Parts: sequence; structure tokens; C-alpha cells
Amino acid sequence: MNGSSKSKRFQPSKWMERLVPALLVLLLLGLLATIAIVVLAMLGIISVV
Amino acid sequence: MHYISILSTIMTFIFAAAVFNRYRYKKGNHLLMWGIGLIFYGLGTLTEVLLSFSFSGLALKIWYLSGAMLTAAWLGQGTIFLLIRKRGVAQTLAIILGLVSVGAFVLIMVAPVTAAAADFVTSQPVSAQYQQILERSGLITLLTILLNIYGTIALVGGAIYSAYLFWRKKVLINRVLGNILIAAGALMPAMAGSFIKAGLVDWLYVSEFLGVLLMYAGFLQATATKPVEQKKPLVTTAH
Repeated sequence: MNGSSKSKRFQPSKWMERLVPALLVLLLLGLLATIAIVVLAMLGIISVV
Repeated sequence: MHYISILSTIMTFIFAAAVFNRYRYKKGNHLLMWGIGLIFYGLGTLTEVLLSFSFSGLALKIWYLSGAMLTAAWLGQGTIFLLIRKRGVAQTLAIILGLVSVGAFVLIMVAPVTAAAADFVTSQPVSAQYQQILERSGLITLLTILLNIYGTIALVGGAIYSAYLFWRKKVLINRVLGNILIAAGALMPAMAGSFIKAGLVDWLYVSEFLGVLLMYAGFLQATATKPVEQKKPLVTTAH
């Protein structure tokens, strides 16, 4: 996190400006879905095998 | 099917060697935890290979203990060490994880293998057959779920959070991309594992291969440094 150096900074391209946040949201949704399946299984709403 | 597990095993142990090598000269508890987590990952895929040749109760138990119970938690513990800087917190969690892991080992080793083992089909994935063969107590199931929730949130959530921080500050693009790859890679076997637990589609072997491939690519990307940056200490998310 020592990101003060100018050499470490970057300027994202236009497509990157859209792609990276979309990927982060997608990954977060995937994480939530995974946890939700496990919790539902724990609660017996879907069967734990 | 076992070819995928062979590839996963080779890839995982190469990855583990790279992490331990980095630990040798960087000395960070996060690297040690990740290395241990990758050894468990590799043991899980290695026992899949062994079980594709012939059945062994011990191999099945090692597969369940390492692959289903411990891998995610130990990998996640690495990220906990990296992200939680408050003194003693990560260490305490690591001690708890160590004790729980020992408990899990004992529980799995004493868990009975049922007569269904005689019907084990080596050409079918173990993930599709273990439920009938390895008798698991409620405590084992509970520990499996808790360890996986803990590990998945820490590893995937931690990587997403790290990527977001670097992205927001617009610094170190390699760590943004590296953490995205790590999160995606870690999510794959986690999703596949939860699908199996819920009795849904079984794509565990493929997810393990893609998972380790993406995580290794992410690790290489995140730890890639330009010559000018090599002398500086790597702080947060130095995967």
C-alpha cells in the first residue's frame, strides 16, 4: 500500500474503467452466492449431503 | 477425469514451492499460511489421483480433511495475516485454526468408512461418492461448513477488498489484476464445494484446476515488481 510513488500510479484506459469494477462486482456476487448456498444448506432449506 | 487432478496437483505443488521460496527471503506469516494452505490443496488433488486408481480409506480421509475442510481456511488465514494488522488478532485466529485443524484431523481419522466403500468406482470422481462411504458426524459437517465460510470470506473477500483499494487509489495495476485473478481462482473450488454440499452439479475437479491456475497467475502478477521497486518493502497484499 505504499503507493505514493508516481512510478506505481496508473491511468486506466476507458475499457478498463468499466471492466475492473464490473469484475469486482461479479466476484462479490459470486462470493455472496457461495456463502448463501452454504447457509441455506446449514438451515436445511437445501439438503447438505 | 484423473488427468485434471494430476495437472492440478503438479500446478499446486509448483505454486506452493513458489510461495515457500518467497517466504524464505520475505518472511511473512501470510506466505507461510498460504504455503500450508496450498500443501493441503495439493494433498486434496493428489488423493483424487490416488483414488482414481484404487480405493483407500486413508486416502479418502486425507482427501476430505485437506480438500474439503482445511484448504480454504488456511489460505484465508494467510490473507487475514496480510490484512489485519491489529496486534495479536491474526495470531490468535491462527492458533484457533491450528487447534480446530487438529480436532478435525482426529474426528476424520476416527470417522468410520462404511460398507459402501466396496462399491467405490475409480472412474467416477470421489466427490460424487464420498457421502455414502465416509460417515461424518454432525460436528464434522459443522466444522466443514464453518471452516469453508471463514476461509472463503477471508481469501476471496480479502482479494476483492485489496483489488478495490489499489483500484481506488489507482496504484499498482499489477496488484489490482493479481488480486482479481486470486479472487476468481479461489472462488471456483469454493463454489464447486458448496454446490456439492448442497447436492447440486459436481464440477469440483475442473474448478480445482482452473482455481489453482488463476490463483498462481494472480500470485505471479501481484508479486511482479519493476527493478526500481524491488528494494522497497512490500506491504499490504504482497501476494
